[in-house]
Amino acid sequence: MEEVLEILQGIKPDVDFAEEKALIDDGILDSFDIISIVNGLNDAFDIEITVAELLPEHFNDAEAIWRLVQDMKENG
Amino acid sequence: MLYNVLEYLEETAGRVPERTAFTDGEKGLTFGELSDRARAVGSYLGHAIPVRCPVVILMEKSAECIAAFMGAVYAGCFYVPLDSAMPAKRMQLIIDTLEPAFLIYDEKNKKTLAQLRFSCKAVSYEEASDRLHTDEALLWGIRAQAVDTDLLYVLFTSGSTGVPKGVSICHRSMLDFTEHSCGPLHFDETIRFGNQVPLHFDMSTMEIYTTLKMGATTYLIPRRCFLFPKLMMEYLEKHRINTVFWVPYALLQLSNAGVLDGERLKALKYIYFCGEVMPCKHLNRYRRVLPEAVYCNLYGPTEITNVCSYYFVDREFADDETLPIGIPFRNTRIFIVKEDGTEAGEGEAGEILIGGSCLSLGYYNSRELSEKSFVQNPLHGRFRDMVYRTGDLGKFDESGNLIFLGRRDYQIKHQGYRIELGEIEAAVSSLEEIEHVCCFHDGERDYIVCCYVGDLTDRDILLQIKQKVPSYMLPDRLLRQEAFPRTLTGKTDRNALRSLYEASEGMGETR
Repeated sequence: MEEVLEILQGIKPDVDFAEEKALIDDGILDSFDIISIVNGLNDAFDIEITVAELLPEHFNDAEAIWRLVQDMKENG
Repeated sequence: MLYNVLEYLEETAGRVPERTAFTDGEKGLTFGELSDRARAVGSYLGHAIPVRCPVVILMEKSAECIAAFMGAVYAGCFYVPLDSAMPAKRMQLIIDTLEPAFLIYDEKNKKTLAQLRFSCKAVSYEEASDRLHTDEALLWGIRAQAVDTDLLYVLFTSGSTGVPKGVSICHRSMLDFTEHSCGPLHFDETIRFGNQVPLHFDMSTMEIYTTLKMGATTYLIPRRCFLFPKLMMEYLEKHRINTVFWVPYALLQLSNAGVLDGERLKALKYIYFCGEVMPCKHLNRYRRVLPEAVYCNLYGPTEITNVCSYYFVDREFADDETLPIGIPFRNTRIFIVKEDGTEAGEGEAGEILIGGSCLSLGYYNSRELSEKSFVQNPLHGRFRDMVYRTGDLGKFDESGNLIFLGRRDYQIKHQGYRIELGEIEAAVSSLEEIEHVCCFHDGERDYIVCCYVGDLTDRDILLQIKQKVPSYMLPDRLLRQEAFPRTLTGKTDRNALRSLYEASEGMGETR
């Protein structure tokens, strides 16, 4: 989880990822951010998040993103 | 003869009051409801402020937001949309330029509102749109004194000085555009628009006023669909969207994600684009998946109301060809003036000038800037004949189609050669592995800088484009990016890319 937070913080230093619970619903992330996050996660964890996983419920808060990474590591 | 855009709303609300006008797919307003709400807001404002005043609308993209626009118009005023996604500083600059007479906000924008300084009154949409306010006699009186050169809206676009410019559009211009565009663009009451751009961006006025005139329906696609291609496909399919008028980038996001599926998008018939150059390579991907769709490339700056020329893609284009921007709509004049001040002949390049009723009445509260761009026709001085200088370079080809050659500011002097940055962009963009490209000039060092997204090394790019452009046009610096920063409308954010470049060159601190 710490590592995910670190990556997120590196991409958007102005967002408090530990606190924000509605990254998508409140319009905090734009499409540029999402591409950056996906690329960052893919590189750091050697996974491949594809369009199939690109859904709002996987990106609304840091924990959801962390769960997505865990799933990808186990099944991807 | 029409003289007020509300005549569209009134005629359509009388004809098909139950039909949905604007909706996000779940929440929307029918033409009847839209008309009721707009007259309530108009009456509320009409009692509070004089006619011909600016009314700021700070609301989420929604049917209610459009009802608030129309409410301002019913009050004999003009509307100015703000968007909470805009930086607060930019919103403040707009308010300072505008000195609004009233401000309408919705629940979701209360927080944003608290950050802004303004001296006028503000009211929530909920309060203003209460039907108890409706005062038909007042509205009738306001309409009776209106003229078609009254302002309808002011949209702010980015200015090169950093101060946004308020493009002022009157009723006459919007009516002129709508009357002359619906026919050639095949718009009728069966149109189901899928809106992409924010409502403070001029492209959206085509969707709004076509919907009002024709009794069509506009789906205001939720923002999250643009973040997640799978959601977008579901949305387009579910609501059987048949017409899109998007910036190319929004279209590319779908094709790049690999989710385009002709079977699922059978309803999608009209694919129109504008705002940036559409590379043929990307267009061809769409045409392979959706061969039956009608594709149209449109062109026009905000200052001439919406778009002024159109080109239906009527033949095959190779990946490295350029799409024409086509022919003008009726009652719009487009001509090209060469650097020596004379009119260009066929095939000769020069600045694109535009004349007609579509012309904006200038930049709000900025006479000096207006006089630079809206000028007397340089070809004669016999009578007042105003034209808009686009700052775009173009030429007419042998079949009479206008070809866009790039921004005049993108024409640079490099090592003594005159170069179109657009030509370098086109060469790089035509390479199979390149997704996006943007070139600019570092004037201080005389470098051509090329930013790109795609799976190629700098060396590969140089080797491959060497066969397409002369060696003095080869970029001096190549900057590979994971993705391009985008403006609110989805266009490439050139200024942000330039900052990235300057930071990478260690130039950031000196500015």
